[in-house]
Amino acid sequence: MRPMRTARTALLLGWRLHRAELVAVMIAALGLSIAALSIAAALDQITADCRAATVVVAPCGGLTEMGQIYDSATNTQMYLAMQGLAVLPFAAAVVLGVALVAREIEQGTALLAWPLARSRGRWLAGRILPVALIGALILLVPAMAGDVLIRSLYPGVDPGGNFEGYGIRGALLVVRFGAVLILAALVGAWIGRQLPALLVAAVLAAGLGIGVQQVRPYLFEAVEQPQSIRFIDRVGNSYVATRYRDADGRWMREEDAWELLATAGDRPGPDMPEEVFFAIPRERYPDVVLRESLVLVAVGGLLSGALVLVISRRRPG
Amino acid sequence: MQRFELRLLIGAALVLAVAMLAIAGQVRAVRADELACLAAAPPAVEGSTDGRCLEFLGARDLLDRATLATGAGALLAPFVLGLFLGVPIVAREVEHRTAAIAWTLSASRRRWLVGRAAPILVAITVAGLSVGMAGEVLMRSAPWNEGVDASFDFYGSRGPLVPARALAVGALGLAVGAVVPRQLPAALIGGGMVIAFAIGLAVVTDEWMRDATVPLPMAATQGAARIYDMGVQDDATGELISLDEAYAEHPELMETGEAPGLTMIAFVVPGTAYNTFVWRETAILAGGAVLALALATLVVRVRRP
Amino acid sequence: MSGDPVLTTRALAKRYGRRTWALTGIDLDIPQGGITALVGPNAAGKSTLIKTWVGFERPTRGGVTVAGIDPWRDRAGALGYLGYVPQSPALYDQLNVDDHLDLASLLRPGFDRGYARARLDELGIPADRDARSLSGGQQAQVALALALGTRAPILLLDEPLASLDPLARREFLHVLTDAVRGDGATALLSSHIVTDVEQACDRLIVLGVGRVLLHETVAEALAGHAMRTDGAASSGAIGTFAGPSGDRVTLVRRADATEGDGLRQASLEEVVLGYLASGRPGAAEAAA
Repeated sequence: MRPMRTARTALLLGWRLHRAELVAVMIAALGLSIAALSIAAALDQITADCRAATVVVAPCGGLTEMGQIYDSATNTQMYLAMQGLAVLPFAAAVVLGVALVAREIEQGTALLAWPLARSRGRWLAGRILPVALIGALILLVPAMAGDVLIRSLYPGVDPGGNFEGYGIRGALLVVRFGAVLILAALVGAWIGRQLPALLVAAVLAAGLGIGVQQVRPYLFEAVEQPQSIRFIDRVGNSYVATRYRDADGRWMREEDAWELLATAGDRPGPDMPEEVFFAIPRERYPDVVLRESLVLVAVGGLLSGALVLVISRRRPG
Repeated sequence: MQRFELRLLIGAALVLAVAMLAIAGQVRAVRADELACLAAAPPAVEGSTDGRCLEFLGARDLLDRATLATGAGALLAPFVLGLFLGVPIVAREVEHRTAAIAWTLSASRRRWLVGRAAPILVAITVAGLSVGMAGEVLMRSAPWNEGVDASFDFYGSRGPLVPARALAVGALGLAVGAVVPRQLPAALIGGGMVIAFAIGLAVVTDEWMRDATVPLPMAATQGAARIYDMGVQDDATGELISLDEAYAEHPELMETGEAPGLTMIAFVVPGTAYNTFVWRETAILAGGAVLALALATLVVRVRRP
Repeated sequence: MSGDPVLTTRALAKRYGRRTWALTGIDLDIPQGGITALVGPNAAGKSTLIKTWVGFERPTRGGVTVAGIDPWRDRAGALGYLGYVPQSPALYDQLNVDDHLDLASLLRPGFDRGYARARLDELGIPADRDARSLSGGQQAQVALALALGTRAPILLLDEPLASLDPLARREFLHVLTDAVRGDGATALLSSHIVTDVEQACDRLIVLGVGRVLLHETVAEALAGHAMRTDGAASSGAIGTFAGPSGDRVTLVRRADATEGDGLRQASLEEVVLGYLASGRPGAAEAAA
């Protein structure tokens, strides 16, 4: 079979074998993208109204030039859409990944396919690559819609240099999808039954999602934020830590600072600790995205090795 | 046939229930110690509690977070239990091609379905019940509910709603699995239907709440009640206006929370309405479960194995 | 391949769990060419034996080779010589017949799609028919076509006839025999229906309680055995079982048997039954 024809056949078969799951992912991706874009349009209108208003202070229920929205309905919708975009790559990968191997084993088709393939690694590549490609293409749409949403929420800030909406937009959605897809396939191969594998993979994917959030502060060195920094200059920075400095300029323990602040209550004195924020500057956004992507690619590589090992050893039924 | 899922999910539900009870116990213990400390320590400033018994702050913070986390788990538990245990009852049988033999061995398909589904639905309900009861205990132990009898706090994470939701979702999963005899697509479709149903129920509940609200000045809101919405009352005319309208006419209200001649109002659903809401929703869920079970029975009787 | 045996086992034993031995020390050499029937009752170990050659089961003791290759050490190498038809083949519900051929072409370099397609056309199985709507016989034929399309020199078929009606079984065996004779391939076909394989097979292996009870050509098996029906004790007795009319009959080796009026020609099924009876506990005493 010629390479182009092979690729086309592989994609077509991948689509047919996972049509239900791919359609579900498409519907979710499209729905969230439409939601994000319509909210972006609403935010753009709020911004335009604000700019046109003669009264500067709280003119019109929305201050998107400052990344704040007082339109509670839009605020709620935006919150839900952002949560959905954050969860989408994980959910899509779990649903698609689990079916890759677990369904073959559960339905008994592995008995037919594995001997045909000679090499199980080859079989695995033939199954996982088309689904990964189709899934990645689907996720490009919400990835771009997320960028549009953040641009509308923060009109004065370049989305490429803005940590706001981190993980709900851009290439990171696709990279996260890829890593979790391999994880879900591994779980499916290990357990060999779709629904139990779905449960376990969902829990592990949630763990991975929490893990990548915890890792972010370590991906780039945070810098101390000047006390006098303007709002417009600090929006988009990634705040990773808060420390306290005593009146002599020495760093103090958080518990000691809280105790002093709690004791002072409404009557703070000159010896009160100074709260100091550390943030990764927003200009470093591309670097952090790249580094997280590399971490995920490394994790994906390890998981791929484990997946090949599990499938090689596994009985097909 | 569903040994793995039953052990995992029922086990997880029981662990959650035990965790909630343990947290409730700890909350009560820490609170008792804290109250004893406050009673023993003289206030730094007359009438102030600042700066006293700070050693309990960390434990309380941790327990508050544990309370909220397990409460969230109790909210999700019925959906996870119902979906992952309900869907495979029929769908796995058909997908594994064992339906043909199972449905011919049994005297009737209805008898087969009852034999397979009943134990699992009972297990789901019992697990939901244990989580619901533990949620009730946890809610009452939360420090912000001290002295409160009727409350909307932890709505959906406690009491009869938990097993009712679990059973309803289980029945729905069973029906979807019978119609779509492939486990993963059935789980996805079932999940989508549950989300749609939950949104619909939220809309209906919202209407009930709107109908049950009572306007009260912000200062007079009870801790037990649920604040449905906020508004502003014109002191002169007594007219109630929405917050958005008030902000538009009185921009200073957004900055300071105050404006001359206006009083902030909370539209409150009294805590005493909680039971009414719970039993209404339980009745809707029970009706839904019966319909789903009827559909599942019909589909199993007529479908090809 | 040279004249060496294409499939071998050496002291092969396979245990499931802690105590269940599916195979207990099997030595086999299957020569190149022809169709070998692997016959035995349920739980005799036929599927387990075939699966060790395919690389699905790892031997607990001993070893197997496929064209001289250990499938557990070099699975890809061994599978390169094999075409496999599983028991109750599960085709992909979401795919049609043509899609299955496409899948096989993707998975197996050198898959002869045209050859497989031609086999299915001869049987009138439409290319665009969904797999789930095919009859059991048609599904078995599709699985066979996929195996034949690999043009592998060795075919392993695990009870492919079990769920087929007589006409479908005949068609299946006809296609298999044609292909094997035409390509000079070697086939091993497991079944518990002896009458079906009698016409198609050249060699016979009888497997019982995890052991090889008989391994001969069909011609040798028929010529070398007889039935004693008079109930008299006989040297060379192998196993006693109930005949069609309920009387006890004994399979004997002609070379060792005492001639007499009670001897008659044994059918292949009776040869198999006699050896299976010999494999039962206490059967040796009963036969003597």
